[in-house]
Amino acid sequence: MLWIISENRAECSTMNHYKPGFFLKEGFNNGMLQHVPSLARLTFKFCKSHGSSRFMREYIESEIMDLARQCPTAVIYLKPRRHRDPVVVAEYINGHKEELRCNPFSKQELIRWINLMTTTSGRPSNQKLLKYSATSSISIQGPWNPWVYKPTEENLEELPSERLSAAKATYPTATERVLDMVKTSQPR
Amino acid sequence: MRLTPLLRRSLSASVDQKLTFARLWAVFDAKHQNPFNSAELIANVLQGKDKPLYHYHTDCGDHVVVINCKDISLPWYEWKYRMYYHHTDYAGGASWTAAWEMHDKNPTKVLEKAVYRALPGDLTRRLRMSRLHLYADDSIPDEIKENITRQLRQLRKVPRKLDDIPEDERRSFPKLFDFPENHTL
Amino acid sequence: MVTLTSVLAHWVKTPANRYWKRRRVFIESGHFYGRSRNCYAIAIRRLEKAWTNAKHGRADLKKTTSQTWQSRISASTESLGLNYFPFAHGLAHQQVALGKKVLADLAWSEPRSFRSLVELARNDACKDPAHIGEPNENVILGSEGVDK
Repeated sequence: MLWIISENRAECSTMNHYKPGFFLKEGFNNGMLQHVPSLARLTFKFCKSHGSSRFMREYIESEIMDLARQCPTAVIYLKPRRHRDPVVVAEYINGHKEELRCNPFSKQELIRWINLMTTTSGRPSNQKLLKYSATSSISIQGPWNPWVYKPTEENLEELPSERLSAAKATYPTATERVLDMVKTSQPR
Repeated sequence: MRLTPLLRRSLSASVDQKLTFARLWAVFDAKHQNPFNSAELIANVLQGKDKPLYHYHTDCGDHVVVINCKDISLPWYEWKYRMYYHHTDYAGGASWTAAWEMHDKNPTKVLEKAVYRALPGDLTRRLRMSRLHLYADDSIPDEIKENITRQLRQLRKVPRKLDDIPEDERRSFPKLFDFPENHTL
Repeated sequence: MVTLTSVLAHWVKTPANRYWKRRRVFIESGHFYGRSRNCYAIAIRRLEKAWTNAKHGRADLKKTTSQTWQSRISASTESLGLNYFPFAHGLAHQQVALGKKVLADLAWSEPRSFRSLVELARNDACKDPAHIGEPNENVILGSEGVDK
């Protein structure tokens, strides 16, 4: 996850703040049985002579071979162009693309940012994740339906029916209690 | 078309969906029921509040068919004292109709107004009222009767009149006390 | 020339400060309708009102969500012949620690499991009160919790 794309929030495009949230299509299960590397392409854009690309040049001289050995599935491009700030562009297999301007970063910071870019899942960081869980089978027993608690003998009843309509009493009525008292007192 | 596992799963999911959100037709017998208590029950069914998938943005209410509306029973002296107000918008156009008078003109009107009052007063009120079918007696049109799949329980017991109790049952009822000799009925 | 401290230097009125102050507001008011999108004096008033509404909305959302869960649970339990509060109390007494959200989800997604939960609560409610043991310590009842 790259939470900071640009240092100055006011430089962002206006409508970026109103992007809709999204739900996960499937869970974060990459690596549970097999791991599919998410990073497809990594591009280093830098200047060969300008001071702002100094740490990027140092990084390329010393670290880039280790990086290539670490992620053999990703393609790494070096793209020199004159008098522009250094930028790292990461493209992921789900089609997402992250750009990171690296002008204020020292070499150590650069190592940490690039480590983050190579190990992240490639989910868009500027969109809000609305739910942190996902499943392909939402119900095991089958979802509720109007007949699930209904006794099956009620299906044979012709409606409207007296039996299903009559109110259920919580307590016996006075008449029922008198009849019950008589019934229980007779055997004596 | 080949029935792949994915297609079979999606087909059964769509059948589940239709079954879960099926709109039922319920029947309610208003005989000897308090219309204002019954209206709360009917309004809950019209809103779908008796379903575990209820949500106030979801249109998941059932149809309700009410029979025997002419036999409702109002508590206390409410037939006399419950007034229905109407104004024609002209000067002196106010009128108050007693419940018994309203019931004489239209035997389903008291219950209809009670349900209208029990429903929430938003834009869905008229839509839900259109799913309420009121009948004065127990005769239902065939095209409506064939839809009915559900019976709502009454809220109170219908008492029996003395004339309705058979002669044998009346005679076999135990004698609880004797009137004294000098008692005059 | 007056020399300002580093704190006060931020308050110097320059065209650049004015621009960025407004830019920060217009970013937030970009989706408003009419002049409240582009005119600063209107936009800042509408923005404060919008933030106030959003604050109230955060509280209301929790309330309505909780009401929806309770309504869904009671719809299921009442169709099985038990009211909400005996059900909730019976589950707490049986030490079933399931929240409203999980119960509401179970009510529509796993109806047969939910029926067995209702039967568990009903058996608890039907027990003779003389045989009911000590109440669960994890359950905080309203008045008792306040007294202690």
